[in-house]
Amino acid sequence: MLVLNTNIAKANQICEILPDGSIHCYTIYPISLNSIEDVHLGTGGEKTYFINISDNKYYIVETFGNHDTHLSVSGLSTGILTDNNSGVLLNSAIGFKGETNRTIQITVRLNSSLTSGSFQLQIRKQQAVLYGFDYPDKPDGTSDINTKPDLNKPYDDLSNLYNTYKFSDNTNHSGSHMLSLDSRDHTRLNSEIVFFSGHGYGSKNGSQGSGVSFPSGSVWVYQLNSMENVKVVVWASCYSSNSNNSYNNSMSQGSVDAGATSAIGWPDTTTVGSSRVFTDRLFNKLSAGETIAYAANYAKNGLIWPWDNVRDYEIDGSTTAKITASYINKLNDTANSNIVKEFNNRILKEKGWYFLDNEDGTKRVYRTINGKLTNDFYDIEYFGNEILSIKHSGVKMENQNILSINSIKTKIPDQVKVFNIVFDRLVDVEKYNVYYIYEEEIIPIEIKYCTYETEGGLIYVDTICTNLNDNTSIDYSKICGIRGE
Amino acid sequence: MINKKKLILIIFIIIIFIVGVVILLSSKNLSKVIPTDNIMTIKIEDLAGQYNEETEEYEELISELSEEEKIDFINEIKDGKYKKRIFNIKATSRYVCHIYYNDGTRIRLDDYQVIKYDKNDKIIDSKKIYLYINIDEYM
Repeated sequence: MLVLNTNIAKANQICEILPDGSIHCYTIYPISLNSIEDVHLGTGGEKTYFINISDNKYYIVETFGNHDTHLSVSGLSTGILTDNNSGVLLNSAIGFKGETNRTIQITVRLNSSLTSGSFQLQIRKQQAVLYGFDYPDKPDGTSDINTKPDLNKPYDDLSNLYNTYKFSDNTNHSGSHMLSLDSRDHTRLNSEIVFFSGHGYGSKNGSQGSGVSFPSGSVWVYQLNSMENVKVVVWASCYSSNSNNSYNNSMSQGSVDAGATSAIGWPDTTTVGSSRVFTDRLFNKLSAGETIAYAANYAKNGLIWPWDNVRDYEIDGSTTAKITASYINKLNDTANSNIVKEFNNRILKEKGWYFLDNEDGTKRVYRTINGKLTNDFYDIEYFGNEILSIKHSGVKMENQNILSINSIKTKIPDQVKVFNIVFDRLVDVEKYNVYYIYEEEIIPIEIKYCTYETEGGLIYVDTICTNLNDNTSIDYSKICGIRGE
Repeated sequence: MINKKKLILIIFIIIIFIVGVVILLSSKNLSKVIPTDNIMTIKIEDLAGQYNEETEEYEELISELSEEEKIDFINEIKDGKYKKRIFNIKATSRYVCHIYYNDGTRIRLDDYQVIKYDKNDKIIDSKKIYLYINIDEYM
């Protein structure tokens, strides 16, 4: 394909000679960082924008609105990136690592070619916001905590990857500063990385974890919302993972509830020195590409004394997320992380799992009883060793009654009649035994796939299912599909 | 070899040090820092505020204790304890108690600090503490 015109300055027409000799022309439009473009598309239409990328930090392209959109980003050395539903609701979002002095093209369309509509498009840099303060001295002259130095190493580690900001002005960088919109038109709290080091609200014998305190103002649990952009938030303050308060929620869990992929907090009191050791090591490993769980464990191991409360950190949300992964999936991360936790717990605690490799690289992991498959299974998509997506079948083996096997032999008819054709030769029988979980019972079932032929060579496969507990027959269509789908 | 006198002196210093630490870390009567006579009013403040369904915003929340609650609270102070706080921790108090006296002075008490004010609302004393009574219950 030959591109005839690539001189990009303002809205421009690009013409390409296609392999069949025809010429395809389209207009591309400039888009600037952070601006929110209104996109209006007719039926089957698409629109392409271009922008020059100036550094190799992380970026995100995202649509907003009530339509099911589709995005693609081209022009990167890594090839064309596409996305359908990684944004909020049915919107699209693509995270990518920028490449210095490269012009990229962003093409957007509605997912269905039969619809038209309007939505918004934005490209912005992914960012990290770091808050720490020299809290004002106490009235008795003794100094309060100073967490400003806590920001230095994380800043150095993160600024190669993210647009990174240090906020430590006692007056201007208040609680409401974190909650207010920035140049991206998102709250600073809704940045990809959020780090707060300071006071948390709570006491040994009273309410704990209801918020964090800035020298000026506060951020309370009830103010945590719209955190879909957040890959990790670290609330380095006392009681930040503690939900013993009137909101029955903690800063860390509240962040995940608000859409953050992962959050780290502490259930009890923490001190400045050991907290700094922890967060310095944490961000160092996170920016080197380690998972949240690995980096936090590494950070903990940097603390010498076993009684140090900072060792008792807690992670809410995903433990496997990485901040060096440019891809995002706002819709599924939280749900994913909960199912991943459940899956890992069950694998550890329950015996009897069968891993089936699918041709597309995904795995289906079945819970088994006496080596027989059940309809309790997980479909897992891996990215390296990390679980990228996971879905459960919806039926779980818990305390249901496992019915005994009373029938050993089941009968197969010698012939079957279908649409007046008699298939009178039984040529093959494939037999499987499974356990099917249905409401309060787990039923042993025999499934026989019986292949019949006619004299003339017509083939018919009949599936005969038998309840091995009471020897009744079962309609295969009732047990072969995932319920509710 | 350390002579006997030196050994006795070292042991004495160690004992004094241990006793000092024990005294420092032991809990003390709260009534020693919070006078319980001549209290006019007691107010409890929830820094998180209160949700107003009409404005859909959280508003300042300070409530004054009733006469009965006041007596209960004073009794709790009389029986209550505190510990001196040596280390700076990354915690602060959501609930704050303001005690107003008949002579115009006042005390601000929370889970981590006691601050005394004179008639002109100037700070005259403060202490870093761990409070062992529960202010939340009076909110």
